[in-house]
Amino acid sequence: MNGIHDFTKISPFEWLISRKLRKDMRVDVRLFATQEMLESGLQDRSIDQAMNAASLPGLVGEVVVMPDMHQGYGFPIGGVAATRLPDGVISPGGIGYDINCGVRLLVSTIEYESVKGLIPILNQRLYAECPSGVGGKGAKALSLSELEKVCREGSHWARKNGFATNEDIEFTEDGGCLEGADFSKVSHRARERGLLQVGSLGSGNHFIEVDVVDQLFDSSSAQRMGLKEGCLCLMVHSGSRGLGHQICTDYVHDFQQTVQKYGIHLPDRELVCAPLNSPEGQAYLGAMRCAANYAFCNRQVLAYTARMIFESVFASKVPDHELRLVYDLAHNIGKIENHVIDNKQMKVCVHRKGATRAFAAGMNEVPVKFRDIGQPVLVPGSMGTSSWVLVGTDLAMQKSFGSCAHGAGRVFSRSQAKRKVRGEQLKGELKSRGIHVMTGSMSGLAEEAPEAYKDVDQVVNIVDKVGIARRVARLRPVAVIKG
Amino acid sequence: MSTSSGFKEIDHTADIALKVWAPNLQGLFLQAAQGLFMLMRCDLSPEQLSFRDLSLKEISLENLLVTFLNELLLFAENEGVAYQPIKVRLNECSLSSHLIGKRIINIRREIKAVTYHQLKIAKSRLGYYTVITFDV
Repeated sequence: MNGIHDFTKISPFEWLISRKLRKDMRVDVRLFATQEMLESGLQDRSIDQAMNAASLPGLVGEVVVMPDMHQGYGFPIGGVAATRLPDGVISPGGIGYDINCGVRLLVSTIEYESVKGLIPILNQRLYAECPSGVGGKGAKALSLSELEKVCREGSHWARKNGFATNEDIEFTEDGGCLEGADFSKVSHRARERGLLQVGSLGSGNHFIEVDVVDQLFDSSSAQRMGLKEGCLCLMVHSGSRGLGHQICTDYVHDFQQTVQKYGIHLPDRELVCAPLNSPEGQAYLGAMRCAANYAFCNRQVLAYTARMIFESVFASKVPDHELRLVYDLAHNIGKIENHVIDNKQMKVCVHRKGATRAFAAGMNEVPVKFRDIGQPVLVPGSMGTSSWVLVGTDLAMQKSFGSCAHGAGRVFSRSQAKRKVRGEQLKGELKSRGIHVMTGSMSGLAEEAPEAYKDVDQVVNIVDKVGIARRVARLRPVAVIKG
Repeated sequence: MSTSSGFKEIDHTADIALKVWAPNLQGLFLQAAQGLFMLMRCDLSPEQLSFRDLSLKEISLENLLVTFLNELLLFAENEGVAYQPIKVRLNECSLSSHLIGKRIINIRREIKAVTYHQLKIAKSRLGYYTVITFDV
């Protein structure tokens, strides 16, 4: 890759890198971005990483890159790739260490203006009672047999234990439980790390955010989702915690030899993989699904805690304090899905690394309530900026394996962010704009400053313009918990 | 690289990268371990807690470095102890190390994993250097 002239411009927001550009590329790379974003991608290696991902054996269609792309390890963040069954590969690095890192959105009918004075108390309570930061102090402690149930059943375990309703299950991607989870493929170490962390947020870019529905772009779809202008909602961003990190670590380690066994040559060792129909590939798939189920359950238990706090803060102040789940979705995951590729229906393994599923109206996987409008898609912003609710489209099914962007996407490194922003100062600035922030680490807060991210509105504008998702509502934050 | 051995955090858009250098491979592993705990921003109890030995065998030096650091990361999260190597012995792709542990009071930055991303231990006129990418 030499420069911008190596891209074929399809439209102002859609570009193609031909597989002919590099000998080891098996498919083209399609990017949804502005020219400026591509030039930035050329600086931070994300374009090279997308081309590296295009070298995986068994790829079909194209590698797709979202406008929130940025440099990761192995795959770029914002990358989507599909491999054919049964002999294509599965790559743990194409899913990420935080397996089923994802977002859920809950809505209320509580009018922000009527409870504005209670937001600081609400935020303090969320920070005090939703365990956050490194480790899992304060999270639910599980026995080994309970952990196994969490890994097999995901959100269903939460329902059986009083942490979830039937509606919660219905409005979680895959009903909060991936079939085929195989606990026997989860190492002793990963199990140990999973025992004490269900119901904890973690650190880094994970957050709980209280938002206000700021503007509706599609009133009918918003109404279906229960989004009312001026009302409070809550967003949770977390994943599979230490259990998922350890599963990925274990399999990336083991696959260093697996690629030699199967004669797979790759441009980056972080892309190591195994054929889906091999014992190694099946073992990772089984373990990865355990972590995905753990993450669904983790966000569910966090939401349960948040609901209890909403009840205690608002029950005597408003007629209805309920938080209802709009949707919960994964943005680091590998899924076996059916897609039409080159006019043929195919069963493929879709790797989404920093990309969300965005299935169109009419798909069986979309809950009945949303089946005529499309699957809700959640694109969180960056603490001080908007977050977005969209719906998946037919074009997403055609162009991106039913996938969309997952966030704003970083533009500054963590050290650059800290050089530009001080945590205390940022907290004060956000407070002056009516955004209350609680965090365990001021330097961590500075690393996650809004300035460190791309403009989420631009990212959403691009996915809307290219047609892989349609805007429904914009949210603005009023309280943020950072791990 | 102003001194003969050391480490330095370098820019990476989403995660963290650490440049490490030393006159020899043993030193490189020692510096990488120190760098890991610097990145984690650990507050440690001043008194020493325990010792342990660690033996590892891998298919390459790079894999050995990743596994070594992932082991230290795991000890930190599971046992709440920051184990630093006092001594590292390397024999081709095998390592044995004597570690000294201090209790961790607080970890202010979570490192999810040590990655293999573009990892290469390179030799220069002054010794060895590498760049390690960590998922955070």
